[in-house]
Amino acid sequence: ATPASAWQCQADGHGGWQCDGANSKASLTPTKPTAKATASSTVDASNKGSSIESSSPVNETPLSSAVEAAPTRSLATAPAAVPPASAAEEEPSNSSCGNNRELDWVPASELTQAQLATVKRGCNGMYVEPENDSPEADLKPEESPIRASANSSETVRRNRTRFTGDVAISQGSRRIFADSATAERDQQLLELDGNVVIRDNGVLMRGDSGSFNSADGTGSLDNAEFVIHEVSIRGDANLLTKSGEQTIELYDSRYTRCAPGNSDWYLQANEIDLDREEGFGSAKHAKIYVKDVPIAYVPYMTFPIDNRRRSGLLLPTLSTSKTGRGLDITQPYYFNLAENYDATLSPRYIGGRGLATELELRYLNQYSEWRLSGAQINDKYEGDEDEGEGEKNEKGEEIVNHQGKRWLVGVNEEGAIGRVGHRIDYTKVSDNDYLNDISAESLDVQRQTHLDQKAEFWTSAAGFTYRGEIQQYQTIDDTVATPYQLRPRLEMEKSGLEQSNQFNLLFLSEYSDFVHPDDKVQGQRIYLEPGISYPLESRWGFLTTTAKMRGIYYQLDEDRGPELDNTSPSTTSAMASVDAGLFFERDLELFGGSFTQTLEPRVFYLYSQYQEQDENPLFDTAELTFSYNQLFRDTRFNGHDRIDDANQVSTGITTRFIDKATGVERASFSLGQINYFDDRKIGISEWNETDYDTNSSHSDIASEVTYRLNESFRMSGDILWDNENDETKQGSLTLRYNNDGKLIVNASLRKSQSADIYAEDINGNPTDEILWKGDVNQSDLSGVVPLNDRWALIGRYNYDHTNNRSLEEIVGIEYNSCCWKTQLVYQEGIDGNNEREHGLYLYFQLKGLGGVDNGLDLDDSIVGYKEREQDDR
Amino acid sequence: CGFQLRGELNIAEPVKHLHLTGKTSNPFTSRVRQRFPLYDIHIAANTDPQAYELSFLEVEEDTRSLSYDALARTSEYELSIEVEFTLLDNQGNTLIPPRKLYGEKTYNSNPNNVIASDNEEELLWKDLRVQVANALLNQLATIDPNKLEQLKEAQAAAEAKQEELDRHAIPPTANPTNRPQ
Amino acid sequence: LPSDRNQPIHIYSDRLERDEKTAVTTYIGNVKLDQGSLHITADKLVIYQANGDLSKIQAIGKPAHLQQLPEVGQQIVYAQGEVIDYFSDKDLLILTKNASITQDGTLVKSERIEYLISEEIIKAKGSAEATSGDDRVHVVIPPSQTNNKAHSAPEKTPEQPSPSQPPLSDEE
Repeated sequence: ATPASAWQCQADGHGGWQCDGANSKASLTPTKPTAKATASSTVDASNKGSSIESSSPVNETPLSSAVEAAPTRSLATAPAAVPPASAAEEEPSNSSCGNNRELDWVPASELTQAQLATVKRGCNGMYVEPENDSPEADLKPEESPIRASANSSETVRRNRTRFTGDVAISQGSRRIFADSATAERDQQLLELDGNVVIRDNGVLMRGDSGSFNSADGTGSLDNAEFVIHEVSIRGDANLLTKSGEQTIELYDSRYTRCAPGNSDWYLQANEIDLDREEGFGSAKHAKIYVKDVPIAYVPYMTFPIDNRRRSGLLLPTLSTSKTGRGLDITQPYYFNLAENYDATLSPRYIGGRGLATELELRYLNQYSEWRLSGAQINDKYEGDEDEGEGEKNEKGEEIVNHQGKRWLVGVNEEGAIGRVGHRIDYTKVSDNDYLNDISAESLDVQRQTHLDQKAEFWTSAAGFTYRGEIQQYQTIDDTVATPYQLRPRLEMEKSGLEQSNQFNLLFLSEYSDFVHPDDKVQGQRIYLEPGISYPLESRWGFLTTTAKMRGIYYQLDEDRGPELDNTSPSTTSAMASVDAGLFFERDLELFGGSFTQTLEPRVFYLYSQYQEQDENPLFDTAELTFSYNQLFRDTRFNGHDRIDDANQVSTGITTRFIDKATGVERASFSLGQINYFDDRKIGISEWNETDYDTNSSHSDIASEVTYRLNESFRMSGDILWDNENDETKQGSLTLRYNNDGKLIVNASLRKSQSADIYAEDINGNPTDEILWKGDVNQSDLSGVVPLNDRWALIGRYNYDHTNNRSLEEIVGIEYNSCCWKTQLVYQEGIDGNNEREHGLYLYFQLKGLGGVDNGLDLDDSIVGYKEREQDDR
Repeated sequence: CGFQLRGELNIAEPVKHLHLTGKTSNPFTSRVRQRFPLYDIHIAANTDPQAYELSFLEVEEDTRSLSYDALARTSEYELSIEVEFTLLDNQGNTLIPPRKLYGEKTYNSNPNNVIASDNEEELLWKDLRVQVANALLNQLATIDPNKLEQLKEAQAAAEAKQEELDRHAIPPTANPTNRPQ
Repeated sequence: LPSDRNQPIHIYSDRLERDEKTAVTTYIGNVKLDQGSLHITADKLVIYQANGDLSKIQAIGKPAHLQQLPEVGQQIVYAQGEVIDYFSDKDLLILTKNASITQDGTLVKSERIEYLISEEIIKAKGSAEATSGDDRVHVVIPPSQTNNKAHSAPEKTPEQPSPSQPPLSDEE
């Protein structure tokens, strides 16, 4: 029987080839361009365009290649000196009937279910590399034998073999087809002629003739077309050379991500270099054509050729200017300066304000990753007519007009030197309203009240973890207090987890120096928390007893801040806790699934000695949010200015339903409450003690529920219920549906009680007239709903029921074609000044040329939108 | 009502020897490196051929404003973590197909005490990472040892067939190439 | 070897038939022929002589085998085919039906192979009415040792510089 050779290809009589490997799914049936059949003696006006009857009604003109002067090419690498291609003018190419098969394009109707899942948005098919069933299919070419088959072969002097007639050569993962081929055995050099096809690690290259060195994977092809299947990129070139295993050079070439037959956009350049190792391509003297109209000329540009986050040429973003005068246009330019640093420069015209420039530099070295961002504008806007100087905005802030220079500076860094990790997060703006007036970011960003300005480091050595930070904030909201600055804060903590069934030493210490710009109390503080714990742990339960001493020692400044009678107050208090829990399990059949249901009762007793603390200042302490987790924490404060007085026991129970087959937690429900044996006295109001209602002997009941129907649908909720006066203190319910970014629906309802805000009289003390009600009662509905595989609706409706106003409304429409995308979004909402603003945003993206999503930033508004965008770059 | 105390967390022996790949330099995977040894899962070096591969395809941590107070200042923040992982044996066969784990926690923001809010956020991140690391453990525990045995036998059979195919492909007459250098 | 010509020919077989008129000798039944480095095994061997000299040998077998050492220091050439014809005047070997020839490790298989021994030219052609329905030529060239040395790519390509992993436990 004949040995299992890679391919047997026979001419199937009507100009096509029927190649059948052992059991190939998509059999390779390349169609020879008919021009070959006419064997015309004149220069073969090879058909460059692959004009394929595309489905869209618009009659597709083929990829026109207006060839200027034949480019002079120094082909150091290409062994055969190839004469510059004759100026093949574009001949209407309806003569050739090359079908999509030529470029491995398989329409959606013929794809398997698994393949359909990976089809890119807006495309009705994908490139599929035919199965390679040679025995060495997954071996490296240089390690595998060359298997060739042809109609005839001739070997001369044991060295040179000439194959003629549908030659098929496979070497490991590499496959080469041609009408005829000559192999020089020692240099492993193949000369190929006639319908050359080279398949090599995920790339398809076709050409009229060429050469290939199978030792190092280099070679060249004339009149070439190529496809990189994984990132669905295709193109053609007068000359294609491969200077290495992972690099491709294209001379006088066109490049696009549009499906075959569709040339909505393409990049035309004298030279395009693709580096699949680095994942980006570069083009010299590049012209971008959209619908065959050149829209941009760039002397040098780079673009990503895989999904690693790198951007390329970006199309402008248009929106209505917030000043209500004209448009707001941004045109970003991306410069890939080196493979570890790049820059994005975005000149921007804001109607009514003038020209702004934004610049972002990213730099990467083996120690850290830096991102420097800056923006500045010479603002000419004199402000709205109806809001003169000196009046108050909806938030009660003085209205100030910021004409002239306005800027933003940002430094972000993260990295590690040896075992010391470090991070810098610094943002500074010229004035409080910069983010609100100028920045094109989301409403979330505009509503920020503070900007982080901190540098921190952390490391661990000899069983201890050390952290240090210098932190301050730029407060850009007059209605909130300016926080203290930490100059610095140093922390040392015994690291490592408590080992069970033995005594564990616990130790936490912190030194911080609090500074405040205003005339407030400031000074240094030392916090010490030595302790010991003895955890008894096993699978079915745990009993952990812990004892700690907690001490705060202040050294307050005499010369800054108010007169103090005691400048070095201190508090020391002892604490003990016992944490016990059991884990019960049972098997359960429910709705046709087999589950393990767990029952996890837990009891936590906490005793903490009461100590007077009314001389302690309040630098960084606040009360932790009450929730089910809080039941089992040994303090109700965060920050170290207060030490709990506690004599309480928390009881809680959790039950989980775990899918036996997959281990996925389908549902969980928790319920718990704290019972106070003594009244709690220590609170977080400065200089006086009790601000707790002393009569309640137990906390609200805290409960949480989560439910996960499948990979796409999730639900969670929590309730704090005050069983004393039978009312819900806080409750929320959230539903999230997201099936891999196709359909996204989020719905949530949030309720919680908090104090009302009273109007202030002229000298600033509150009147009894309620300006705004405090309770939170808000609903949020957001999502992306596809109308078909091209059009999708984007929307959000975030409504504040207490104050009867919508916080953010978004209505948008998105059109997704296989290789470009556009979005038109209307957004209206409450901005940083608590005032209603609205804008219309128009955004384009050429897929494949990369696009930092410079459209409206919807990541925070619609949960799941960010991931949906990331995998459609 | 059928409840009894939970038995041992049965993680199959070979699964107790893992090397981590994918997105492995983030606080979540530091937490995994720290907690897994407690359940005597040894995190091996990447070059260890015997170790099974736990690959983190995605580790995404986000902070989002959930609700706003009357002056449009954030009153509640939501911290969310999403981890996509897959488990492969040392031959590259998939034991657990890519799967996502989620965790969310919310806290009341305090515009007048930003330092305290940042501290609370840090505390909740620790809780969230422990919660998702435990959920990951539950998933590893679903690999029962005899399922691994079947996989090994299937693999051995496949390799035997492949060798037979190779031997058949090159006819016996071709002698080993000892080319004159 | 070129010197094979003047080496004695030994032929072993079960039976022998000699036809003086046509000067054709036929050996039948697990035939073995040795002449210097030339060895032929076949089911049937027919030797044609013209005016006293050897003009053609035909070996028939399922398949018949032939091997010879072309030059000192080179590798033995193995050939096989259901019909092997050797024309001594043109020093030409023609293998037909399931023919294959292995030279320096390179295997050539097809329906018909012509091997001009002195000029070292091997021509192989598929033919439409091939018995096995395979009218193609198949060649297997082993991965030559030359390119294994050519480039020993570094085992692990240096990773893109990414910040080294922050130290183990930055919290707890």
